[in-house]
Amino acid sequence: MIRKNNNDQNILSDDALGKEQMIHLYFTEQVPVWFKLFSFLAFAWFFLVYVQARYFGLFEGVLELPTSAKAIFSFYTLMPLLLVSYVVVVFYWWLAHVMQNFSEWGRDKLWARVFWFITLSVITFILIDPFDKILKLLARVELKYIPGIGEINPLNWVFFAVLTYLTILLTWHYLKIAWDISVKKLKEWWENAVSIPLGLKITLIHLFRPNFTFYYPEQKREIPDYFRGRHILDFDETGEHLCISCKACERICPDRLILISYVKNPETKKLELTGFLLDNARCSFCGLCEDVCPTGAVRHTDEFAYSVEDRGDLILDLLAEYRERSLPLRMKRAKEKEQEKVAQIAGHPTIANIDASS
Amino acid sequence: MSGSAFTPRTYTIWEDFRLWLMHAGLPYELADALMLIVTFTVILIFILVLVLGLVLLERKFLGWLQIRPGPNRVGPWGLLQTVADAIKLLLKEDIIPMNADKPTFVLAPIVMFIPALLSLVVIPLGVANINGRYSYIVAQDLDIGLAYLLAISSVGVIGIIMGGWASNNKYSLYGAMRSVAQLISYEVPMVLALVSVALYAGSLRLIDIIHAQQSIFALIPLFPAFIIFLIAGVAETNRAPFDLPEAESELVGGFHTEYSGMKFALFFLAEYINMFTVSALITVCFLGGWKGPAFLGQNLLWLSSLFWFFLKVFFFLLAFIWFRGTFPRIRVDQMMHFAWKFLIPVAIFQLLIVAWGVAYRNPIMSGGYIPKISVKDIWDPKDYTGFTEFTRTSLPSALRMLNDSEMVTFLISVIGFILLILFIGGLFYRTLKGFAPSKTIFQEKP
Repeated sequence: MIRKNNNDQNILSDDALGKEQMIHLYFTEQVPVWFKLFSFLAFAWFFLVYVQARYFGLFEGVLELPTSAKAIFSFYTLMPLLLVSYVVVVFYWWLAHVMQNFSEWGRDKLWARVFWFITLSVITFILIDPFDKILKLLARVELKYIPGIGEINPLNWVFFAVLTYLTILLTWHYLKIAWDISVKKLKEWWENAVSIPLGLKITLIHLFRPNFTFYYPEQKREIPDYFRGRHILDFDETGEHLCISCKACERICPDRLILISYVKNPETKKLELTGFLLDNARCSFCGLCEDVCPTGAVRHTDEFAYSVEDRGDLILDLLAEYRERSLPLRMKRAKEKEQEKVAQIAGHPTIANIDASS
Repeated sequence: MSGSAFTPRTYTIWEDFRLWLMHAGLPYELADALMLIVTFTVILIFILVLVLGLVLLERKFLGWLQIRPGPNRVGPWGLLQTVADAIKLLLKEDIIPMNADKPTFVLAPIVMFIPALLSLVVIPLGVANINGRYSYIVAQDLDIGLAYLLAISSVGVIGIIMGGWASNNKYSLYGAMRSVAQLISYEVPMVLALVSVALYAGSLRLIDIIHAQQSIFALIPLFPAFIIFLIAGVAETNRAPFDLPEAESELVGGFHTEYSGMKFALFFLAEYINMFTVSALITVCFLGGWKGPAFLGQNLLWLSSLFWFFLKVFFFLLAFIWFRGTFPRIRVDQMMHFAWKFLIPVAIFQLLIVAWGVAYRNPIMSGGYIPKISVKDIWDPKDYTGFTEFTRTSLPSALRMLNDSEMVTFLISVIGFILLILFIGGLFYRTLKGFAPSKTIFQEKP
């Protein structure tokens, strides 16, 4: 089995124009040339016969003609009738297609085309009323009297019946469409109408809820332990900061905003911190400095409201800040040490002395 | 109360005040002038206090609806917030844009403010019993009060379009055009709803409309008109969800974008006065105005009537704020479609129902007034003037005046009304319990 080539789908076929566009084409563009000629000849023949009959008395004395002449004559007069009927039928079949596609409901429905074709034909018959003409010509059927209507030809009843049937069919169809649309609209409106009290109910419930908001300066939210705020330099219970000047935070900082300076103590061979600067304005508060610090010297606090008037003020001198903060503790420790020294000199037993002796 | 279309004149408390002054020995001219001054002062103070309170109420209530506290910094519980705002607006620099049409620009807030002020003239706030005679608490009791109100409220539109045009700003002009389109559109259903009320009450005088609701509030027989008037009233006051003229997110500020200081304050005042006017009109037309139990006795009738009136008005003011806190703004096309395709047909339908009720002497539908003759006799030339002569009674005595066929019609209408309420109520209940029509209807067929 040959697989269908996908590229073929892009080639426009005859149907690709679509029925909607097709119905806008002229009738004459859809029929072949021979049919145009054919219909012209049919109508020409028909009018020839008609003009002859109307003005030159063509049918006078027909009954006296011989049978062969009668046959030729009937061919000459009935043939154009047949041809014209054929042309009209073809035209109506096309017109029914147009009518079918005129509204949405008729698309892709053959019965709609048939329905329009029958409707058109019946309307034409009623307008021309050939049976009445025939009946008048032959004068064979008695007219019937119906109270309220008057004299009527019984054969015309057929047409009235068909007409009534089609009228009922059409009315029913359009009423059905109207009903569908109105039901849909009403449901839509109903939904809209119902959503209004629903919304009002929701806001009414909100009216009695406690506020989500805080009265900020008076009330503050609880700040979690893991919050990363402004940095500090931490110190131990003796008041000495924990920084060993390893510069690990300076190296890990993704924004390169820590600057550490130190000197080497020639006696103890230890590094002594002389400056710890941190540009808080550019800090992304990633917490890497806190994580990498081997002694836990650099710490994030939960302080978040420290706006300043100058951007330069955001460059924190952590060492100076540490000194200021730890001053009471260091003073206290210094005083205690002094007292200890005085006690040792006086020879009073202290806890330290007892521990040392035992 | 029985009589014809011509009711005896009513007295206002201001006239009683003038009478009291004349008894005290003042000449008529002086008493009259004093009466006017006092009336004007009282109304002005009333309006200022009202608007300040209303703005604060709106901000607080809207805050609570949105689960936040609202203004709470100025004064205790933020009560002085609007006072501070008013002082700020008064002291602010009054800017007129360079390319603005200056005379029109200055005139526009006045043209909007004055009609808003004038519309308060005819609204009856209460009734007082002074020496056994009823005096109404109303600035001026007009026979054509309803028509006057509608006419005056339409003038405010001119102020809006003047302001929008004179600002020489595209946003202002857009806002003004939207506003005018909206106000003109929504005036039609509003007037139709009010025509239903006038037909129901048999009068355009607001006091008569209140008296017509002696037995039953017009809310019940005229419920569709009430809903229409409520919606149209929200639209007329340019409030959410019909605040398209002032859509902040689209048009900066609408027609008052270029205004500042005192002129802006005038626009602001006018809007809030309109809000009060609409609430008061709804109260008068559908909720019986000051009608309510006189729980303080006849001597303090004025207090209890004012209490009931302002209780009802307060409810509607809160409802307006409630709507603002609930509904999102609608589109321009939706707004126009809603007015012309939904509200106006429903309003006309309501009008037909009321006309039917009046013509067939249905006492519930006609505010308890019974024309001398029924509609079936109206074509009798010797009797047709009887249609304009009517007796206004309470509901039970009105029912006794009906003949048998009218009684049957009345009962059928009452049963139909109850069935309708049950049906709609059932649908509502069912929908609110979780049945959504869209789940069954709007699914696409596979």
